[in-house]
Amino acid sequence: MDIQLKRGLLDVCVLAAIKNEDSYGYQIIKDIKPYVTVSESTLYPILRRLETAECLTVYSVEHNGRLRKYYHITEKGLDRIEAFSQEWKEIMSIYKFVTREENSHDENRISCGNP
Amino acid sequence: MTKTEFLAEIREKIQGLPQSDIEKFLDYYAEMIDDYAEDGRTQEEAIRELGSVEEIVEQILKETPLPHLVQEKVRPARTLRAGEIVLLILGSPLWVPVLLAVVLLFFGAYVFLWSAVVILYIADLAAFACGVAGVFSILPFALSGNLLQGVLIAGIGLISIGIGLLFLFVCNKVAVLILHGSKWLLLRVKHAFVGKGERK
Repeated sequence: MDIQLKRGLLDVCVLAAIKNEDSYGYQIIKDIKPYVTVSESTLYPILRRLETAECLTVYSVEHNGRLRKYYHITEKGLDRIEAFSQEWKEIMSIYKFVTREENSHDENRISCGNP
Repeated sequence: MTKTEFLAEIREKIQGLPQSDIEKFLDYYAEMIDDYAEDGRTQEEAIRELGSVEEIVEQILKETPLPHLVQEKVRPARTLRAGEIVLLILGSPLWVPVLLAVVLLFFGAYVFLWSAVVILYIADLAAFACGVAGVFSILPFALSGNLLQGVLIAGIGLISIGIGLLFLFVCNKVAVLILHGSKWLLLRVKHAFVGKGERK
């Protein structure tokens, strides 16, 4: 997959992983794993980037006598997910157009409102 | 390798980063190892899972912009004394040109690499242009009755186009190589800034 594309996707995946409840690094990787493989060393810069962009905030919680960092999604982060899904709706309609069957060609023309 | 050794090794390799960045980075990896351990793995396994120290350092350097590293390196550990500032100003005719020379040297290396690519593509374009011109020159030759000469020139033209096509692949390969080369160069420069060495 294209590197830039994957980078953008990973950002949104991480945000999606903390969308419903706050989460921590190890858990985020586990949650994303079924969909896209992300290594620990890749996740770190993503988290930092999202923090700098104010898409998430970080706080520490004591756990088993040590500190664990939890990530909480912000309004901006939610907007980012929303923007992503809007964008992909457009991309999906383009995908449908690109892979459409030859015989549905005329149908498409009509539905596109062409005379 | 134990967790402490692993973290110490990373710390050594990223010394040149800002202190707060180093702490955040190491906290992150310490937490990862602990969470792996909590999930029923040994420290050793966890560390193997995380990948080699080199890979980890490489990743963090790729994400850190060069100016950020340079800034951290040149920032003095304490505020300068008046005498030192005077010395800096008096010495500026010496150190400013030296600094400028180093910066320009790197800039020059970049320009050199990329102009090599541009020249290759221009040469390739020239081969194409010659080829096309050669093929079309069959017409004036044929009209003036020298058909054989025309065919010869056109043949040479076709060969020229062929060479141009082949050479295009070479150009692309070289461009990719140089792109990788310059990335590698940048990474080495970053390594030089954060690695071992005297800290002010």
